[in-house]
Amino acid sequence: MAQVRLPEWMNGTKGPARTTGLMRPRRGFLEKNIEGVSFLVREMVAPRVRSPHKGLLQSIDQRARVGGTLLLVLSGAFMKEIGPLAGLLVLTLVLALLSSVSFSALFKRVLPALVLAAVVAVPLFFDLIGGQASDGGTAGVEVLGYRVVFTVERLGTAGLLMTRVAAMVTPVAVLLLSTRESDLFKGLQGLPVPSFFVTALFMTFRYVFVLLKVVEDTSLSRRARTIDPSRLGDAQRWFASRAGLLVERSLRSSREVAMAMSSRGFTGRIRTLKPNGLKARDYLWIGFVSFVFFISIGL
Amino acid sequence: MKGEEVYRLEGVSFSYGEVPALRDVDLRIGAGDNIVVVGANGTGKSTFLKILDGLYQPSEGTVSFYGRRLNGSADSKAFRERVGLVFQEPDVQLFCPTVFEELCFGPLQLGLEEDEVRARVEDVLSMLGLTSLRDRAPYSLSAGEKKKVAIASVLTQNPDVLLLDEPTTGLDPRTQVWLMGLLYEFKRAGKTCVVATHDLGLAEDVADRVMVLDESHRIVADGRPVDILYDKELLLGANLIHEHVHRHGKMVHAHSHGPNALHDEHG
Amino acid sequence: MHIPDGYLSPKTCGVLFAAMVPVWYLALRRVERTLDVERLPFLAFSAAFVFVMMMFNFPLPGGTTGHVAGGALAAIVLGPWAGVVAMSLALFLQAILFGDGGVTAFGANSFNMAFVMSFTGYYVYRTLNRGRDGTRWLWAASFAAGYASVNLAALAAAVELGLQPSIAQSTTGAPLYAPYPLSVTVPAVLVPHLLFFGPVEGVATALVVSFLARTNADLLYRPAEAAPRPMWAVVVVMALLTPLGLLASGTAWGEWSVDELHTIAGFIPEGMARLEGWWEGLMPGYTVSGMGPSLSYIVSAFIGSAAVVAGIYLVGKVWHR
Repeated sequence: MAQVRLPEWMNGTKGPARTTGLMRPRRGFLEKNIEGVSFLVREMVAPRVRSPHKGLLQSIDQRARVGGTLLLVLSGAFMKEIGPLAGLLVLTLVLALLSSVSFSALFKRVLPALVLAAVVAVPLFFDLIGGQASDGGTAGVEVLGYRVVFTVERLGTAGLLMTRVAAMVTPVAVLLLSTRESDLFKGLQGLPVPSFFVTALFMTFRYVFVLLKVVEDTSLSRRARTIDPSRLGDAQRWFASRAGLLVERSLRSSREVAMAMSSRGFTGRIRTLKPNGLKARDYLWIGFVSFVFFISIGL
Repeated sequence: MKGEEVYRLEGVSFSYGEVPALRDVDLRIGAGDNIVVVGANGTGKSTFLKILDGLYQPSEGTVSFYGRRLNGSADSKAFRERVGLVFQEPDVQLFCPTVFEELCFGPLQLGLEEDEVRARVEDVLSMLGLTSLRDRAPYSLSAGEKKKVAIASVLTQNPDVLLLDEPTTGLDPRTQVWLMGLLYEFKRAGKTCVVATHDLGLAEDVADRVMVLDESHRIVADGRPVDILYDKELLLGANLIHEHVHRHGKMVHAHSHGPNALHDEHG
Repeated sequence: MHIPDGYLSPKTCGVLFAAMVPVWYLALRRVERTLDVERLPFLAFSAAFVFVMMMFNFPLPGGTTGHVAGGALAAIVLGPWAGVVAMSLALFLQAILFGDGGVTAFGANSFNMAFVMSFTGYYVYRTLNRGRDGTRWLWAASFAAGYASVNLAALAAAVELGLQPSIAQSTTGAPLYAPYPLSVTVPAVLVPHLLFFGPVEGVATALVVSFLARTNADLLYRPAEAAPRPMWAVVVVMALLTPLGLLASGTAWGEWSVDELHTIAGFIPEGMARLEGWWEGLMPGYTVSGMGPSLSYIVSAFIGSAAVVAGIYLVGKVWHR
């Protein structure tokens, strides 16, 4: 094989750089976001991998755990008054406490939903809505040319919405913070969800990481090559090419995986291990959650 | 039974669309054979193994397994119980939430009773030293651990024929040595093994029979390791070794880098 | 566009979830026919792809970014049925892992984003692209698909939210869930989508589809049947647009009175009211003779939960034999 010869312009070196200090790379939104997203996803998984502290929820069978949490959320959907909803929220927080779930982590997870609810609730107080006529809202304040009205009813509606959102989002957050993904998916499997769906879900979860890695690798290599990634047209074309790459990788990998599954005897229907039986404590939990649910229908 | 014919390939060729991957393969594999297929990247080793595992239908020619033609029957339970393939990329093969479940997957799909499945999995876990990993998620393991889990997940099927695609690639030295020990054990247990690799050292250590695939996608040699691995021209032509010129002090040497035997030319 | 928990009444959630069940069933059947064993990893990878796409920030002028929902893209690349499944899987993961979109609202979000968005995108694309060659048409068809799909999905969401005040009210008439009526939700949701999110989705869809068409055209879905007869598409689009008919009664948005709202939205709550009675009827023994109403209520709840526990126990026994 012929020896490789370097072209002329590669010879020699440039000598020391004349600029002082580090060059702050102008990060394009693309890189920033891919890294940010990957980080977010990883961070999402990591605490749970480390999580299994001993606690109330952790000692309950996964299926009962997942089903019970869903039932709690459903209870929140049926309640009609702020009192019971607040009660439900408190109950969930107690569960969190008993399951060694960090309140600050819980708060971080729930906060976005609460903020959104607050933002949604704000216009309630402005007199833009023609429909809310039964207010008697004359005791208003002028703000920026709009009338802001505080009445018991409007406050009640806003409060109800926010409490309901909090009561429905927190149980899911608690579940996530106290359960490993493998248990989460195992739990879903036991419920009346087709096992095909759960397996597909798990595989999807897994392949998200694979694809993210592909994107990350290619994005980082791009950064190494250019220092001005913020030209819009380029960035958009780059986005398109990454998406295309993902499609390609997805299809190729899925064929390989299909072969691997065939190779191990998969013919289209998945057989899984029969789950362990439920214990007394699981039944207690189920009974308790069902109780809360039935109560909530009428409240 | 040792010596019984397991595979017979006659005139087998395979192409991905227009691109040829394997050409005119004619060979037989007997029970208990320990074969290493060597070839540079892209010569068709993976394709060969996939054909042996019934995952690809040859574009031309026939493949017979224990005398029966392999076409649609490759999906039959009887076939899947007897042949297992360890893919090159463990990630492709690991798709269950825990290592334990991963190992259970194969035998479960083959219809074994759950108690027996569990027993087998426990045995394989301890055999490969994976018991501490049983509740871990496979995708969170290191490369070496993933490889072990991938192999373990095929072993629980208890196949008679083991196909391994580049098993040592990407492994750290200790795990590589472990793997070679494992392959010896399979040999002792009477399994039929076909290993595809470009690592000639592995071939020398493990094989009873070596096949060489060259860049024309044909099998250009099939024989004993001692005959093939010392055949410098053959290996050079197949792009498995390279000539090298370097200096030792004032002497200039031209010799090839290959398995130890060849390198010992300068003594 | 993901609707979180707490904004839709249980009846709405239930109805939309029930509407999706046949869609999912059909979708799985369709995918099974074409792919067999490959179906599972293919769907998982497609869903992962959609998931990652939804996370991506699409670069926009001014250094800002926008999000792409990807329903049209999924349908164009995978076909509408596989697109539905992939989107549903991605949405489910987003709901439980990220809290992006509610758990009870999963049926609604699937309806809007997995069903409406995918099918609209697919049929718009196919209809515009039928028998035409050339990159400009491809671009236009993909853009239109992305634009139309996202807006229709947004409209569906807006309608679902806007109906809540008339469907679910407290005894004083105050809304129990999403508190704004149609006259507010529809413009509030639709306008940003028509003006901003729609074009963004359109551009992103067009870019990706034309990239794929250029580099690796057989990655794009090719339907087994000939391009759909326009009649089919028209029917589907009409069905999806019926909510718009609700708005066509001509009154200026700001002046809708509560009565008008009730008449327009009336026929939907009627169906839901029927469901309502059914729920309460489930409650075993609402009153127990001899006890006060609240106590008997609690006892009923207790009996109900005991029944649930017993039921699960028995099912477990039978299942495991």
